[in-house]
Amino acid sequence: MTSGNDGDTPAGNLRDTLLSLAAKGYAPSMPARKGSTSDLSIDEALVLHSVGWEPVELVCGAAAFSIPAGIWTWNQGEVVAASAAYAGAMGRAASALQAECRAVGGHGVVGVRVDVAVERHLVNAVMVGSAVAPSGGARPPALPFVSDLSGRDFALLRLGGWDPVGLAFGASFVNAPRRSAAVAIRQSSQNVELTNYTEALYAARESAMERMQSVAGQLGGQGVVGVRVSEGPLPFARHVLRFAAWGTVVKASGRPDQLGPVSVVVPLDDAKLAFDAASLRGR
Amino acid sequence: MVDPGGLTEPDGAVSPDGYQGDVPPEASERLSSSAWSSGLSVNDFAACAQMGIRPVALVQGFCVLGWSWYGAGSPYLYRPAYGGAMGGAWGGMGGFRGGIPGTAGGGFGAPFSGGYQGGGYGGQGAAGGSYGRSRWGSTITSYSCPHSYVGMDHRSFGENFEQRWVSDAWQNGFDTAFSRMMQEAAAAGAHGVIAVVDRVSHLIDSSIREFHVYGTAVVVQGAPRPPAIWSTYLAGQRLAKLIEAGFMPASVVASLASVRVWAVCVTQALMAGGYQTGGWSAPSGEITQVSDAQMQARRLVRDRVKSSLRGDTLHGAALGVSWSDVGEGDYQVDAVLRGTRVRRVRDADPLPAPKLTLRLS
Repeated sequence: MTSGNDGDTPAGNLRDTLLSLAAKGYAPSMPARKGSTSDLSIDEALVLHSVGWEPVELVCGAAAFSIPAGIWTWNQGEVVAASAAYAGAMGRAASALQAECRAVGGHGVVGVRVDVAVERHLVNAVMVGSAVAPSGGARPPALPFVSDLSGRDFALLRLGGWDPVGLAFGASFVNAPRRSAAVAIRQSSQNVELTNYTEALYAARESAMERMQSVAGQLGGQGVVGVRVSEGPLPFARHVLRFAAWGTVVKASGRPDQLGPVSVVVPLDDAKLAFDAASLRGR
Repeated sequence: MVDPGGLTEPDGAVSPDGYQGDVPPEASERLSSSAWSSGLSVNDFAACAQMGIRPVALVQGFCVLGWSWYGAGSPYLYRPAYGGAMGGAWGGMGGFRGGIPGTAGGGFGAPFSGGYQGGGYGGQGAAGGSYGRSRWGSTITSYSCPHSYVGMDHRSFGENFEQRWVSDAWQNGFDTAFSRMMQEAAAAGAHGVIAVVDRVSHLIDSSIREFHVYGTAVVVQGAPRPPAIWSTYLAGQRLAKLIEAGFMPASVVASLASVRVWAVCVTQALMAGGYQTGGWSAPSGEITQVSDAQMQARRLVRDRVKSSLRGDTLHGAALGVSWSDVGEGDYQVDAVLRGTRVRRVRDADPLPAPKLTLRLS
């Protein structure tokens, strides 16, 4: 980071900077603007700033979908209604997030935290993130992007010539297969593959991933980065296994890669023992 | 929300000379000791020393509040929107189920208006009208029954209600504890308080809540005392980066919003998997009233915090939300937003664009 443009600020170190600011009573350097909120860390805000973007507002999207009664009895195959409720809740939450981003003049949302709770009769999906926009105040797009990328990841993607497009997700709820008594007895004394289990779980995982990639295609993306997978049995229906996957859809922007070659560095300092705030200036 | 001010606004803020004496004798004795204490890690301490920031004392404030939602003396008993229903034929809590809330949008007189027909139910009378408002809170949205049916067990009306007395009580507890911490900081001669931590916890049982705010009071060595003591959740390297980026922390900001879902019949049915005891059923799909409540709690707390920013920026916002199923479709969502109000005090150029490195260690 280079020093500021304030001619009254010594270019020495942070101690001098702080003393200079205190002497002026910490007076604002610009007229008060409309207040804004952001949940980005200072590191993320600085990295965003380095690529010409800034946070605009803290935004959220939420949706609750009903799961019909009676679907958790132990049957075979996928629990279709639960998968549909999950997809519906995620889709609506993402849409609400996008709408709120548009309302505050954002070009997209970064750092989205996805929180999904599945209960017996309810899927609750909540997404919270920071709307961001280019520093120049460009006209926002009609459809802002939604992503769960951190500010750092967003900056790296853009410098690498990629743009986030949206959030893709897919889920599958599947019943663990039943075994006949004879098969269960026969397999109980053998260390063999339980092919019916393998096949059921394999199919469920593939279904969830396929749905996610399908959403990515619908959004016009070329791929999905940062895929996160959540899986496991449901606490209120242990025989049902949930597989959910989501990630950020990206596409090539057409801009050249600005990252350049990778440099190999061998750090000699120990961050735990030495901290030099002046190093923040890039010197 | 009590505006804690910070930096150049003395309104409502604790000035360095503003020690009001609301600090117990034990604290006064500790603060006058020749040795200082701090809540800083060694890393943060080293970073602060590099900036010329010296700790002077660990400062703290407490406030213990009695806490209840619906007990005797609860504001619900006095809510004007339900006053008639409470004293009327529905009686008791039943008044909330079948009660007719006067001038609700649609309401009983037009049960299908905006109901389940067409674009789904909900969204009636958004924060408007003369009903449902009181010093205890206000109706955010109301929802009407699409069934054209009235019965004791049928909720012909529902609403999402902002529970202002809950948020006001929380704010009162937080602000009181925060103010006491700042008074300790003033007594210690501090310029600012860094590494603030706040905790809200139940004490003994759920009817008592304790608000505890603490941080490390610091002085900027060689600097004059500021007009008001500033405070921040940040410390050490993150504080250094913030100042290097051209910002100065003004004040810690925190607030809570509480939204109560009084379920309309369809919400009640959907929350039970599509059926309710009265035999009504609803197709699966979005539970709009609950979706709305989730959004409303977050928006309310964000907008409340924004109203206290005075054109500054809320940095590092942390939004914590809890919700609970109260039963029979009713629901409650509480959202707490906290962060540091920061002000740009000097221009700063952006960092150079990142470069990729491969680290060998």
